[in-house]
Amino acid sequence: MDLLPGPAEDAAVARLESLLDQPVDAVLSAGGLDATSLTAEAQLAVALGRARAPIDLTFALLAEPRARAAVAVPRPGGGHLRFGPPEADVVLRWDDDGIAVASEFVAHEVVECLDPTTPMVVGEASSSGPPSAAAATRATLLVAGVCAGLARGALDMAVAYATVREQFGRPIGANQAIKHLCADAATRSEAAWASLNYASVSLAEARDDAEFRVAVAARVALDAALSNGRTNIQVHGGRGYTLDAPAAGFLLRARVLEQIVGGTRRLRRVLLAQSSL
Amino acid sequence: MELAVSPEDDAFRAELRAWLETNAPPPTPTEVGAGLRARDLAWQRALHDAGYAGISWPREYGGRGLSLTQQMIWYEETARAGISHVNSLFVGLSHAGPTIIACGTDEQKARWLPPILRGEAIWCQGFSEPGAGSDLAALQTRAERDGDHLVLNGVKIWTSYAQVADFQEMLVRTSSDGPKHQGITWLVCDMRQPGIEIRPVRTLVRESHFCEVHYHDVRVPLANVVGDVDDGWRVARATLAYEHGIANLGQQVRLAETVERIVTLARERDVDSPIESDLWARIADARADVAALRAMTYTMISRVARESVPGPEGSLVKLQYGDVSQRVHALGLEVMGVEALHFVPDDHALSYGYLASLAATIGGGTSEIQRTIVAERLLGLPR
Repeated sequence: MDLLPGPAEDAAVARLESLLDQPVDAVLSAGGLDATSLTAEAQLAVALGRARAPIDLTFALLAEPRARAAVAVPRPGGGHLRFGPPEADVVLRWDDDGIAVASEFVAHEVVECLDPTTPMVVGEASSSGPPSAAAATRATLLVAGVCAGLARGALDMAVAYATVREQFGRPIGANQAIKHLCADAATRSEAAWASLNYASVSLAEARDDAEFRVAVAARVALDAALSNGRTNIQVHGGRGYTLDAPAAGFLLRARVLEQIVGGTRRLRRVLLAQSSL
Repeated sequence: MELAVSPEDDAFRAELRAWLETNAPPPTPTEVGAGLRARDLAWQRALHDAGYAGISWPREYGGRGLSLTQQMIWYEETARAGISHVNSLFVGLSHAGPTIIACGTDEQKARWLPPILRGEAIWCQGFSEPGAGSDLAALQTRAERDGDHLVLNGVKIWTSYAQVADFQEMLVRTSSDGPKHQGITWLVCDMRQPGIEIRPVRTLVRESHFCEVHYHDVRVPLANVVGDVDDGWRVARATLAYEHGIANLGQQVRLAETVERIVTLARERDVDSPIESDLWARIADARADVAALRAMTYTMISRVARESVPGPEGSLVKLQYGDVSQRVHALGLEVMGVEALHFVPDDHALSYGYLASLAATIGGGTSEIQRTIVAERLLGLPR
């Protein structure tokens, strides 16, 4: 048993990280999202979240094969909300039944997203082939990976700021109240990362409980990303509330991904369907 | 990355499971007395005779010398068979014994180790004091030299199973000069001698294994000092990380079983009105939380297997366990309804588990102390 990334996963992450300062197209054409295994793909997802990379890269990782992709999810009142680049080559329609490639997306209105870095369009995704539940499970795992990365990235940023920001003549991180906020964030980050690794190996090995493990990872990682995102804003104080500092980016990105995977309701349905023993 | 264990490890699990099916003792009452000492010692003898004594002890000291993965399997399988590891054998097997292995002389090892494995002696621990909890080094129990003996006066608390113990591993103050971490000595006290007064502590679960122990001129031979006089802090730290997080696996297995009992209970109670839908949401989250806890432990085991030294990550598992345990038991109480108010003195009962979970964020280092450890040693925040 070994739940830590090995050389293959580490190499894929190192290549991606060396390309992250380049435009999305350049990352894609340089093979920045290439991976030889599902466990490596999961670690790429973590790296994307941790670096708060453009959401276009997350959606490109979800697409099989890799492509400039957007994701459309159903609105309760009918129609779809589409997230991701307007010039996407492929639109993934993701609902309770799984993921299908939309043959067409008719845009009605460009709207502002809660997360200022995520393009969002109201429209209608036309149906195509039958939705794939397996594709949705894989994509849920990768979203969980991004969320585990967001949780870790938010923690990294909070700790870095708490170390340099001084008030009352000393770093704010010397105060126990700040320390304990960060320690709780570290615990959530570890829970998310460990659950993600367990799930990615379960799915890669096609184990019976893989879907359950993926739901665990997504539920725990989403909670970690949302909670640590809030912690990061809080530790940054007034700066955390400004758009100049990207402190809030982790939280807002997590809010988008929460809806992409169908909200906690969809995850809890899977969690209630199978015993944890 | 892989979940599979080796064929040898699978074989070990099968062999152990088969042995436990015929040899595991039936569930027993939790209160001290009522034959607890005889029962625990008999179980340890059975383990010894079957070659399962001291699963993590090195072979040269009579242990099984199991790999980390096999220790993990051991805790999972024994917990599955209903055996609790938080019992009167714990201190001897998992704390005092390993400390003596790490720091004792050959004579001390020969004297104290075999009886632990053979099920002939029960050990308890005398570290905490009424005035030295989180700040353990502030301990005040005096040990003054008198010829070739140390004479003890003071009070220890939270000593589990003092009523049935033969020996006690202790930290005492032999010097008040210099910093408080110096001047502490690690010694072994014979519990069956004059001057020792044992007062059981009534805890939230009523009668418990916890005791307060008072020492009035208790004489301990200098030969019972492990390591050097005034060097006890180092001796105590030699095993602080011992089995960190892994010994806790048994409790994790039981917590997962508790979640499943709550699911069954919720189905029986037909918890499905809209006003109660949050209970199902919390049950789903509880399943995710206990699964995450197990994944954290597996990750820690993977880390120790690579780096061979347990790091401060053990504190993360402990923090998560305390938090999840309290949330799960509180949820169980809500699902059960008014009957949960009927306290049953059995550690399998939800009412008992709920009360016991309140100690999960206190015992073995409070969650606040753990958070500070994580912040300073893992995250590098300024002291």
